[in-house]
Amino acid sequence: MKIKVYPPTFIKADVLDMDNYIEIDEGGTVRQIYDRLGIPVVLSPLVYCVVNYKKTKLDTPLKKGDIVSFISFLSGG
Amino acid sequence: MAKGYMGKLLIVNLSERSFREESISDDVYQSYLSGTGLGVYYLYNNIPQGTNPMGPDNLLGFMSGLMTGTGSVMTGRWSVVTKSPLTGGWGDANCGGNLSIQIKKCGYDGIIIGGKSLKPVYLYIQDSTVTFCDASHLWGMDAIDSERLLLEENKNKGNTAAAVIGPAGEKLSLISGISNDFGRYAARSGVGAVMGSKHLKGIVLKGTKKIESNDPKSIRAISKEYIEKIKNAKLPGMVKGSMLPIMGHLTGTQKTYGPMDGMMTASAMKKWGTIANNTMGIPNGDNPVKNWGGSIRDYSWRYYRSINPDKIINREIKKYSCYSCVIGCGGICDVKNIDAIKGDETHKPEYETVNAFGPLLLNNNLESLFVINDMLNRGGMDSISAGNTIAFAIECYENGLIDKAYTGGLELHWGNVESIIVLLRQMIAREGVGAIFADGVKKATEAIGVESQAYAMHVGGQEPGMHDARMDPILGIHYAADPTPGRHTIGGGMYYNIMHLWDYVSWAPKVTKGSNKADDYLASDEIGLKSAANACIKQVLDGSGGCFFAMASGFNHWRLFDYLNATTGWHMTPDQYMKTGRRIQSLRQAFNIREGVNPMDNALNNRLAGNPPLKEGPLAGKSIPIGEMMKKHFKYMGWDENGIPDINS
Repeated sequence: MKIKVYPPTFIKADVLDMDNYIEIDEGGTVRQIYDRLGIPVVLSPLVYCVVNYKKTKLDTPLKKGDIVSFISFLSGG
Repeated sequence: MAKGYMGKLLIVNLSERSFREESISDDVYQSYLSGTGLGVYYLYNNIPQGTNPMGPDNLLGFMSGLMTGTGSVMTGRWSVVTKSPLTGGWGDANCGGNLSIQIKKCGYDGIIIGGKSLKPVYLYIQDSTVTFCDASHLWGMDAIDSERLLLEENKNKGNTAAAVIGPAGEKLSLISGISNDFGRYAARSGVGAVMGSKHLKGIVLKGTKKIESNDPKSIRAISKEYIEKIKNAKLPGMVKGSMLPIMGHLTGTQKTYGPMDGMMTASAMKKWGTIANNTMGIPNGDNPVKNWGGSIRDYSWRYYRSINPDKIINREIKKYSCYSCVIGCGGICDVKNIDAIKGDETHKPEYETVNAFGPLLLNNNLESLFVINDMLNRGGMDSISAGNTIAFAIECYENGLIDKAYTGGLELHWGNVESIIVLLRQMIAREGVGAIFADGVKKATEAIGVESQAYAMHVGGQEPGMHDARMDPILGIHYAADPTPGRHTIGGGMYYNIMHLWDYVSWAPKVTKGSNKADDYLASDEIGLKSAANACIKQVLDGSGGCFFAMASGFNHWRLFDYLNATTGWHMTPDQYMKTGRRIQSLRQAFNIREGVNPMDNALNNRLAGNPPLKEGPLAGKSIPIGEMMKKHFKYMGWDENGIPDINS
C-alpha cells in the first residue's frame, strides 16, 4: 500500500517516489518507515513523527492513504 | 452584497477636520479583495500623480482583511497603505496585533486619512463617529506609553484598540513605523513618517458592528480542522535550541529539496516563534552577517550561542497571539532585571530584530538585544532598516569614510554595543550624527558620499530583511521585483515548497522530491513561474488579512481558498483568486511606474547578489543572475520585460 511521507529535511529519502510516496506491506508500521528511510529508531524521540497530524507510536499500523510527517524547520521571521 | 466585508471606507480629512463614508461596490471587492488590494485600488485612484509623500495630499490607509472577524483563524492582519517616502513609490506595511478587527467592528474595511493637522491630533473612532482629539500631551512620548495613555483615556469605552507612532515617526524618520498592541509594528515603507507628517499621533478604534459571513458553518469546520492539527503540533521536550544550528547545517548542505509539510514547521513556531531562526540560519547562510559581507567564519558558535532562542524564551512569561491566531509565535518577556528597559515586561524580540542587531553588527550581547528591541518599539523605528543602517555606518567607519569627529565621538566598530545603542538613540531622536542615519541607508549615502554606496545595503531605497538571497534566490527576486522592494515576506523558494500551491493552481509548478537546488540559481521559466505564483498569492493573503505563517503551514492545511468562498459566497476557483492577486500586484507596480520608479533600478546591488561571491562560509561561490531573474518574473506576471504592467489588459 502507498503511504505519503514527509521525511526530515536532512534525509535524502531515496526510497520515496517523486511525490513522496512509499510502498509498504499491508499492516506495515511506523517503525518500517523509519527503517526504510534509514532513520535509527533511537532517534525517534528527536525527529518527532506524526501520522495524519496526530501523535503516534512506532508500532502503530498504517493504512492506505496515511500521511507520515517528520520534523522540519523553516527559515523565516 | 457578498459577505465578509463591510462595504465601505471611512475617509478622514485632517486639514478640514471632516469625515465621510464612501461605499465600495461589490465588483471592486471581487476584483481587489479587501486589505492591501482595496487599499491600492483606492489610493491609485485618489493620490494625484507626483504627490509629495510627506505632504497633505498623500493618503494613509489603515486596512483590515476580508476574512478578519468571520470565525476564520490566522486572519487578524492589517495593512497600512500609502505613497512611500522611503522608495518614492507604492508603500505598504503589514502587521498583526489587535487593530484589524476593530476597523471592521467600526463598520469599515479601511480608514483612509488625508490632509494634515496643524497641531498634533489623534482620532477616536467609535463606530461611525469620528472625534478629533488634541494629542499635544502625547507628542514626544514613546509609542508604548502613548498607546497605554490613549487606552486609559478611553477606558470606559470597552474593547478598544489603538495604533500610534513614536518619536521617530514624529521626527519624520523615513524608516519609522506604526505600532499597535504595545510593540507590534507595521514597520516598512516609511509609513510612520507619513503619519508623523500629518501630525497624527494615533488612532483609537472602538466598534460594535457585526461581521457577517456567507457560510459560517463551513468556516467553523475549516477552522476546527486547522486548530486541531496545530494543537497536535508539539515539539518533543528533548528538542532544544542548541540543536537548531545542526538542523540548519543539515538542511543547508542538502543538494536537493522536495515538498515540505508546513504543519511540521508550526511546532517550532509555537515553541520559539521566529527566533528559531536565530541560530539555524547562521550555518546555512540564511542569516546575513557583518553587513552582508561576512559569514559563520565571522560569527561563529562562540558568538551565536549567545542568541540561542532558549536563552530568550527563558525570559518568556506568557505567549502572545495576534487576533484570531492559534499558533502564538509571540511572547511577553520579563525584563525586570534589565535596568535600561523601562517597565517590567516587553514583547519577545523577533528574529529580524535579533539578526539585524546581532550577527549583522557582530554583536553577541543578548541583553543588549532586549534593550535595543525595547528602544525600537518605544521609538517607533523599523528594526530591519535601522540594523542595516547601523551596519552601513560601522562599515563606513571601519573603512575610514567617517571618523570619530564625524560621529561625535562614537567609535563605530563591529560589535561595539555601547556605540550601537547610542547611535540608535540618536537616530530615533534625530540628534547628533543620528540625524544622518535616521532616514535609512540610501539617504545616508547622500551625506557621506559616493564611495559609501559600496556598503549601502538597500533595494530601491528600502533595506532588505534578514534573509540572504544568495541562499534563496527566489527570495532575491522578490527583494528586487516587488513594488515594495527589500521585503522578505513576499515569498521565497522554501516558502514555495511548503505552500503546496501546485495542488490548487493550474499553472503553479509542482515541486517533486529530488529537485535540484542548483537550478534555483538559474533564470529559468520555472523560477519565473514560482516567483509569480508567490507574488500573486501574497496579494490574496494580504487582501484576506491572513498571516504569512498560516500560509507557510501550507494551503493543504490552512484552506485559504475554501475560507474565502465560505466567507463571500463567490465560488471562485484558486486560479481566479490568483488572477485577483495578479491584478492587485499589477496595480501596485503601476503605481510605481506612474510615480517614476524604474523597476530595473531595484535590482540587487553587487554584494546582495553575490558579485563577487563570498569566499568563505556556506554561501561561498554563490551568486544570482538577478537581472535575468527579474525579467523572467516580469514575464510570468504578464508585464513587459522592463516590469511595466498593462493594467487595462
